[in-house]
Amino acid sequence: MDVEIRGLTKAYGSTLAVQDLTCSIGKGEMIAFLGPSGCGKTTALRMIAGLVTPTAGEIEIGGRSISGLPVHRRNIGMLFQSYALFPHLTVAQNIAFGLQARKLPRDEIARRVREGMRLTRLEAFADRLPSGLSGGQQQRVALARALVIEPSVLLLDEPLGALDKNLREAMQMELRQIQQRLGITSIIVTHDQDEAMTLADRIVIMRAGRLEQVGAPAEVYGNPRSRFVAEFLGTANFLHGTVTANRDGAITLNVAGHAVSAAGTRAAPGAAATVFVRPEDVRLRPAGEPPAAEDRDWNRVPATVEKVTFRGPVTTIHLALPSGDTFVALRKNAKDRTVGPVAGDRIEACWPPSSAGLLEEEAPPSRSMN
Amino acid sequence: MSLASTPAAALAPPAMGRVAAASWRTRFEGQTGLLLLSPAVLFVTVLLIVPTLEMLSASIQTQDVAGSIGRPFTARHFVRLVEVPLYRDVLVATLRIAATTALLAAVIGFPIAAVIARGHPTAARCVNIIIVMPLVVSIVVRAYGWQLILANGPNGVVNVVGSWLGFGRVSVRMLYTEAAVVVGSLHVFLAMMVLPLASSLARIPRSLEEAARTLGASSLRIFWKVTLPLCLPGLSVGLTLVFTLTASSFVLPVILGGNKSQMLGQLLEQQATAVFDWPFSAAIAIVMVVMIFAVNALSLWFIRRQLNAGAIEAQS
Repeated sequence: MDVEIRGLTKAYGSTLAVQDLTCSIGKGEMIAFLGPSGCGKTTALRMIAGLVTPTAGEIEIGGRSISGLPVHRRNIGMLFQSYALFPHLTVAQNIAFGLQARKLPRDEIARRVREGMRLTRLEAFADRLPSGLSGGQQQRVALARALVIEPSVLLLDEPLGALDKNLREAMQMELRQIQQRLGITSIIVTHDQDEAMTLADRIVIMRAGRLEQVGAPAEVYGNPRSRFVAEFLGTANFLHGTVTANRDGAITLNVAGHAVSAAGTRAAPGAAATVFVRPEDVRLRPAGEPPAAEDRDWNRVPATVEKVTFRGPVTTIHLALPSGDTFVALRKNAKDRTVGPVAGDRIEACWPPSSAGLLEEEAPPSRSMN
Repeated sequence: MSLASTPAAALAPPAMGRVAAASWRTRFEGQTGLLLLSPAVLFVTVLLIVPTLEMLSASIQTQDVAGSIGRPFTARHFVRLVEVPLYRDVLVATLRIAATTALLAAVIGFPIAAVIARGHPTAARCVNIIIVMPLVVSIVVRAYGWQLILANGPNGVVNVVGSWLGFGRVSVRMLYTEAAVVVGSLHVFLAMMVLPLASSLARIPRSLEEAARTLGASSLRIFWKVTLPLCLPGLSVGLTLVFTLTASSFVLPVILGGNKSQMLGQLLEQQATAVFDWPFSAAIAIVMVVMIFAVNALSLWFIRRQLNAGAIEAQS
């Protein structure tokens, strides 16, 4: 592993901003620290950079502990949300800054600055001051400036947070391409789940200073450990019930009088449990219609349509269950779309048992960190 | 035409009387500004521009034995100021004292400004008050205070402290030297350096220094390459203020400098009130003004050039 973080903790007085964070990052991997504001993700990143001194814990880069090293000896590239470009230096001078600090020979500096500008498509702007550039261009300068020093780790602190949506998406692509081409180990801090899923090989979800779950985007999205993760990554429906049976990893729950099956193993009959279903897995069918052959064993729950919202590629349908819970279903708006349900319709919500997951028992959420 | 009245006139075209009223009001409002300015204009014209022209003309005329000033025109007074060693020394000493004070103020003022701009809010407020406080005490009172502190005899505060520390009965003879003038001026004018510097410093985002640090720059390098260049606006304002105020000061050199370290202000006072050589006094006054302007322009040009030179070096 290229970066090893063990038991990283930061206390401000009696508040723990980061608590016992342990994770490792492979060579060339891009990791996202994802979580709501105040979850400690930025503090964790700043501890890796050395800008914040950890209260406890160990950070290793390339097998070498960097805990004792001052910031300027850590060989780290960092991008800030505010870009943090030097306003009195031109684009080329900004990019050269780290190389000059390393006292490299002049021709080597010139070569690497040219290379950095080519990589980030900034050649035309070499002699401009940062104030004459757009936000996206400024962040590209910051990226070039961080990359030319050939850092052992690239740290990105909400780097695209100040950009508008379209530019942000374009920059995500560009950033990911450059990162993969150079194979540079990277950590990005973001509160934007789309950005985390687009950019990262693995996502570290943080909550109230603690690591909540780590995994590849599809893995974390598909198998959230807790309700917090399921809700933070996308939308999820939750059903609370009592376990009635547990056979070969197939669990049956009693949810307000309806039998619901789900995938999962850690549940004893009689225990309370929560099942989640993603809206895109939910199909709607008219109430009372007999099941077709392929969805004979699907879960089905009667529901009333509350609200239908057209959102372009999909339509969101809000349902009310007899238990009083709300349920959300997504319907793709394909070209040959049939007439969808309208508010007030009595229908059945169905989903295959394999797409419903059992959440792990979770501790009551502590709000003290936020 | 004033902007405010235009819509009013546009809104009421049919009623002739109202149009006339609006246009009258427009004319009146157009002149209100001038009217309001006139006291200041009058004041400046009568009390600054006319006397300055008067002084300029006096400086290039001749004074006869009876004391009246008139033709022929001459540049003699200016030449005398530069050629006579006695006067030239005063000119050079004035420049030296003002420059030393300005530079020392920058060196001493930078850390103080840093505390105000970056320190703990309580510390910043305390330091700010301490820096500004001397400004509310009369300059004469402060000068006499320094006279007691720097006194050359065994009763000077510095010498008393020196003798406690075992440096002998009279270890420092500083009063009535240039150094005493510099010390006094520093105390009086430090705020003029610290306040603009602090506001310049406070405007530099912390992320710039953090970025520089992650890029491998040591604290010293960050100071020279990031903090100082971005502070130049405040620094040049501070240097200009301290230099100007020191070079043109009169009370401090009289009380702390004695006769040994005469500055232009003292010379001017002597020539005007004791010798009654008004053309020469006028010439001294003009040299003081021009010199201060020149030094300020020169320092600004130098700072800009340094900035650009740094930029060019980084490019190649």
